[in-house]
Amino acid sequence: MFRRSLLRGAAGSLLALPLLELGSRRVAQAAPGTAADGYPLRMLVFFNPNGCWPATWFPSGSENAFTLGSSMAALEPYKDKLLVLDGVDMPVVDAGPGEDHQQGMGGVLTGRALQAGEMVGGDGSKAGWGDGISIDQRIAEQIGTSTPLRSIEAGIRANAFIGGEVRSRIIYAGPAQPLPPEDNPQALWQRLFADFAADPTEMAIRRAKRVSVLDTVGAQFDRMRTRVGAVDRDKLDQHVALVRDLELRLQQEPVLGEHCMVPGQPPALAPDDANVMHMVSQAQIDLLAMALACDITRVGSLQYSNGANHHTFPFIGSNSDGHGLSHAPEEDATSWNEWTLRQTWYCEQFAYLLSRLASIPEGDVTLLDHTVILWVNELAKGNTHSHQRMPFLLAGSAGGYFRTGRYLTYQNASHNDLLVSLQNAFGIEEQSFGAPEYCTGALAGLT
Amino acid sequence: MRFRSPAPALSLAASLLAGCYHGLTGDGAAAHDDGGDAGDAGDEGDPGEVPPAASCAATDPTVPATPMRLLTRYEYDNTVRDLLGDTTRPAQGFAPENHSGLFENDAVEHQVSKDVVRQYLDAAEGIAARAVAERLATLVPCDPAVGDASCGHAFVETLLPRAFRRPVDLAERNAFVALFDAASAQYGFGEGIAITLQAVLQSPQFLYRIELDPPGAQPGDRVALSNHELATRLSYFLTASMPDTVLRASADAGELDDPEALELQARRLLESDGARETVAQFHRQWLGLGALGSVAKDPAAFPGLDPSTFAGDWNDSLQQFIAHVFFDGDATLSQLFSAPEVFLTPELAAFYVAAGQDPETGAWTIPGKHAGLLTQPGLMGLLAYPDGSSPVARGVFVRKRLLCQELSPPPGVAITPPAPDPNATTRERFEQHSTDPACAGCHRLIDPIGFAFENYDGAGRWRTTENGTPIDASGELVGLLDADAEGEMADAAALSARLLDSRDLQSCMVQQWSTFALGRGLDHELEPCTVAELQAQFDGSGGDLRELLVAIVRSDAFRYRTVQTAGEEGAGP
Repeated sequence: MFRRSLLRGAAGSLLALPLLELGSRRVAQAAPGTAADGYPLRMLVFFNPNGCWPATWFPSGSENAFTLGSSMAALEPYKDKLLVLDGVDMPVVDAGPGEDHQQGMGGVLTGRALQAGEMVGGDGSKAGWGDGISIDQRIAEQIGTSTPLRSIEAGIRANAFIGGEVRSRIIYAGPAQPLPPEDNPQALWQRLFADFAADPTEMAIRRAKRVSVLDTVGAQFDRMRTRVGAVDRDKLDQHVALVRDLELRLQQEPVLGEHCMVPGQPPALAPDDANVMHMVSQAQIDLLAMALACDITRVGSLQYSNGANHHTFPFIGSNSDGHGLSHAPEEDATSWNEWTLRQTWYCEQFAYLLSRLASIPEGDVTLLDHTVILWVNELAKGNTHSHQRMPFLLAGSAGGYFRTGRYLTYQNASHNDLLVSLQNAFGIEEQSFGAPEYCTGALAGLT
Repeated sequence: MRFRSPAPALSLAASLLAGCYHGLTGDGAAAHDDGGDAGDAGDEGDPGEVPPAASCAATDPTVPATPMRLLTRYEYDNTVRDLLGDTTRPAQGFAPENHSGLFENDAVEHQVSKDVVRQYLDAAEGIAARAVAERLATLVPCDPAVGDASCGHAFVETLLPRAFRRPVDLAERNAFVALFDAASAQYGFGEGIAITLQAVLQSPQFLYRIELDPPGAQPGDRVALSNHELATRLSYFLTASMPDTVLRASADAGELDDPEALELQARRLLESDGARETVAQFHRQWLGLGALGSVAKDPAAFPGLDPSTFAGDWNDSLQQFIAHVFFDGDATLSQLFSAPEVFLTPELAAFYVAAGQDPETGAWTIPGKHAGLLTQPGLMGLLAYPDGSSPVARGVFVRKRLLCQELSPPPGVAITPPAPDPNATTRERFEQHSTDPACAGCHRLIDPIGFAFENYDGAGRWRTTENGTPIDASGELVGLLDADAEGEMADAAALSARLLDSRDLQSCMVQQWSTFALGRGLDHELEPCTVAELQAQFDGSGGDLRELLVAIVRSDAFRYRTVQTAGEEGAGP
């Protein structure tokens, strides 16, 4: 349920600026990451864990004439917006420490092997954090500078069971700097919309107060950093850099998109509770889609649970232990049927996300067309723990950059090349991302 | 530079567990955690160390360096409660702490991110607004209606030493007075107070427990903590919050250099409500009880378990038992692992078919044998599948959290759990592990412990049959440092007794409580004397956990620190 925002600019006029105007202004600044029609480009990540059951996930057929996998039927209306990728591997993650869940989580978006460390995985292996910036954050560096938020990390039971460790984090600001997903829709709403739901005059005063508070805070960091040792100074420097970034963003008067409607507060839902996971999912998708429509951020992610999960899906009548299911033997049809039920549910969430984005017109097209969504997993297949033939796909063309509506097959392509393609779509021209020895340039055939 | 102490290779454990690693091919079902150990957040370093008494000469030459520590969510909440009377627990909405072991207060891993910095801002605004709206008259030394500059300045001067947990210097005082002056001039007295509070609550001196080097100290020097730094370590360890008035006065008077005075304060705090909070927090993290918030059960397997309440009730039940041992009982390890009490809500009492309640303690009598922590219904229910028990999860739990051991990874990755069989018992299905040579290496260390819990089903209910077959709860405990404690046992109560008799459990408790106290694991190479002393004192006290906490406070590891390298000016992350 949305209500019209009553946002007013400094002069008191309604703030529903035509986004085209906003877009062209930003074109004039020659900002990369802008579509040809002047609208900003957006990038999203969609993650679910524990691999897929390939028989019901991958399509059959040829590049231009293919049938979606049976668990992917919900995507039928969006088939022409998809690029389904078959034969992409993650060799880079296998090269480092850790077990397969750890490796996949920390490497899928960073394109790097894990650091060494003391975090114990499901099988007793040890590893540290991901070793570099993740692709979404790299893109946020490029296109997330002028928005109120650099990026939004939304989770759906992403912190359940294990809290913050390598098996629950995919997004990284830099080496060993994981970014936590927000699993609570009310908190996410607060982060995204509380300021815009407030009275604009009141908001301007609040902004001024925040700046003077953060000035004083920044000065305290500056003082303390000279009095402590090197390691503590690094901690303070890292912290104050985030404070300064926050201060800068808070000072900017936001310019909201033309179809921005500040939504009402979502209901209170216990973020770790399996019984309400489907409600949390819908709320998070609604919030994320509107955050993009409002131009509060241009980069985001939706992380469903994590790589250590023992989740159950009571809301679709699937009560088996998730990790156990994903390890079922090939011939265990009962388990794979139940698994496919969950896979189908994930796909329905993905389709719902696409429907939300497609419902927001931007010029002659929709927000979905100005976006690219990368759907990833940390494993290819649960019962092998393999990182070969990853279930990856793209949806949305990022303003026509990707040629969608196709099913592409590769022979052991390195997923680093896919990450290169994504950064290229946002005007980052480097032909390498993550560990350079696993890059050959952009993944062939996408554009 | 990383502060993680290089946990010396676990000499004994490694050789014991060598079977996990060698001679295996293909199937690695072995130690893979496919058993629903919901709380398998990893474990601490230095497991399986041989008690190092022999290597301790007199005093450890050094104390492993520890970076400054960021308040955890619960420390933040408790601190704003004690500092400003705010009981709303605003930090519960912060992102969870990064941790590489069991504990959230890890000095290395618990760090800020962009979202956390924003959460600090939002929380500070909320706390400040509530303070001014609800409690202003109690916070400032004047009538707020006629609040003026001198009142505001006095407020700053009183607040800062409490908020920063030490006397402040003039520059600090002036910075916040200047903010108050500017803000109150523009927005009025109350808002001036609120804005000052917001800045204090986001300053590094509040958010971090900063320990400064004494003048003239050189990198690598072993230095004593200042009185206020000691008071801060002590209060966060024993009360999970800032120092109270009495402790602060003691620090102001410079008394805490004296270990006797420090011990006196420790004993006083152990009697306070704050100690209950610390004990609850330690056990939540040590035992992984946080995962209870995520657990779901198959309603077909456990009808009568209310999905909306059972997990929270299990948590409360466990914490009541722990508090009972710690604060109503004698707080010994032996009581923790043998006391029969079970505390239940009326709903759980019905589910477990409880026969009656002790009018004095409130403990229920439920069918079956109940011997301490390990057989608590909530713990058994946590360490289980959604539809049944999990010998693997229970065995791994004992190895990792109670014995501080690490299990080596299996070399293969193809994992297939035992096929479901409605006619077999769980034990029969999992016994495949011991007949399959690929699994046997590790699982002989795990499953024979887990089998001892087979009398407790996936919701922790006592059972004597499964699928019509009598339960066989016999098991075996091997792979200990203390070979005398190894051997077979008839059931979980006998397992608890064996564990209690072992030096392994004792030494692991020292390790776990020390890690929680210090924000780092004990380093058996760099501080062998501390390890040996703590061990000896815990031993000498008859396994009294409260005495262990006092011993940790008196240890060098707690009272000293190592000066960090100065590093290069401007060295960034």
